[in-house]
Amino acid sequence: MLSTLLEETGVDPKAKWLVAEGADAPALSRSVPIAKALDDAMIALYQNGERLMPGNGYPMRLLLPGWEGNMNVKWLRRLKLVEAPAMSYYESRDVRAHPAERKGVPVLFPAGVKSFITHPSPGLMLKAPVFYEISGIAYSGDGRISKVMVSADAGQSWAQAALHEPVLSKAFTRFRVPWSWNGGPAVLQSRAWDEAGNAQPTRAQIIAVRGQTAKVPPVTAFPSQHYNGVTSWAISSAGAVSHVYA
Amino acid sequence: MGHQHPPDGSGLPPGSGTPAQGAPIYAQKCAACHGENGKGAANAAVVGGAELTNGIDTVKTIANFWPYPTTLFDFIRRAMPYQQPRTLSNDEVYALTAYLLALTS
Repeated sequence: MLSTLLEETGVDPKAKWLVAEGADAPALSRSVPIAKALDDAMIALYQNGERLMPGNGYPMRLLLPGWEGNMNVKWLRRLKLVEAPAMSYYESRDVRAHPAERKGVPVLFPAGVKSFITHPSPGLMLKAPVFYEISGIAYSGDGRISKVMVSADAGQSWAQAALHEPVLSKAFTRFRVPWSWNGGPAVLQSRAWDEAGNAQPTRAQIIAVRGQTAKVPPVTAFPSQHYNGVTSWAISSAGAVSHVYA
Repeated sequence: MGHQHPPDGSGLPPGSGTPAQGAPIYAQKCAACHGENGKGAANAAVVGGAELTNGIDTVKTIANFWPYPTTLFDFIRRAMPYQQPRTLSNDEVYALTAYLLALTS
């Protein structure tokens, strides 16, 4: 736990934030409130029983449970306790909330409740109109997932999915629901709720707050970061799966 | 949070620079990607930018989204030029920061 390290070093009472810096080429950094650092923040050396892989930040990375993954600074090489957030480039440009939804919070930290279907998903083909298991992942930065609903008709009707135990706070939660494909066009969606009562927003709710891009933006523009709305996979009558707005 | 405790410049290294000193450095080390006078080329524009309330497609720039000069200074110092990060002197970073802020205003 990061709190163990900070107990060893001591914390200047004036310190309200911690700046974590990575050893990547641009030495990217993130500012973390001291309360989060002392709560459940970790320095991760291992993942799934083995040392972190290089792409995941070997030899160590910051891990802030429930917060957006971009905060988990890889190749961690420095932690500096400071009085105010650094407002470094990426936390200024990409992590700050869109003006329409700032509501006095300039930086977004906790991950909103989110779900998406991993099977079937783009890249897979349904070969025949038979029984399938729809399966996916849900998570929330605000506790445990309490419910996931799945639709095969773009949200006109919903069925409650089963959650794979154990359902842990701020952790990926696998859901599944049986589905018999009739061979016709279909649109698969999932929507999750968490124990704090948060509902995953619909795409329409996100658009109502933030607007919608007129065209697919360049990858460096990041106009719609923090999208945690409902994602739709279309199934064609040929069985092809593609991402659609529905 | 950020808005209540804006960076006050503490911890900045000694040095100085002016927009006039920054212009030739920009032309030599930045313009290939960011375009003449910061208008954008192979990579994002660093000047211009409409009010973000104009819509989600509005490009985020120094003028409309970067909150503090220290943000600009820090990113240039730690991450630029893209192919050779941390090769600029502190005075060069100050000069480039001044040049870009002058273009922005």
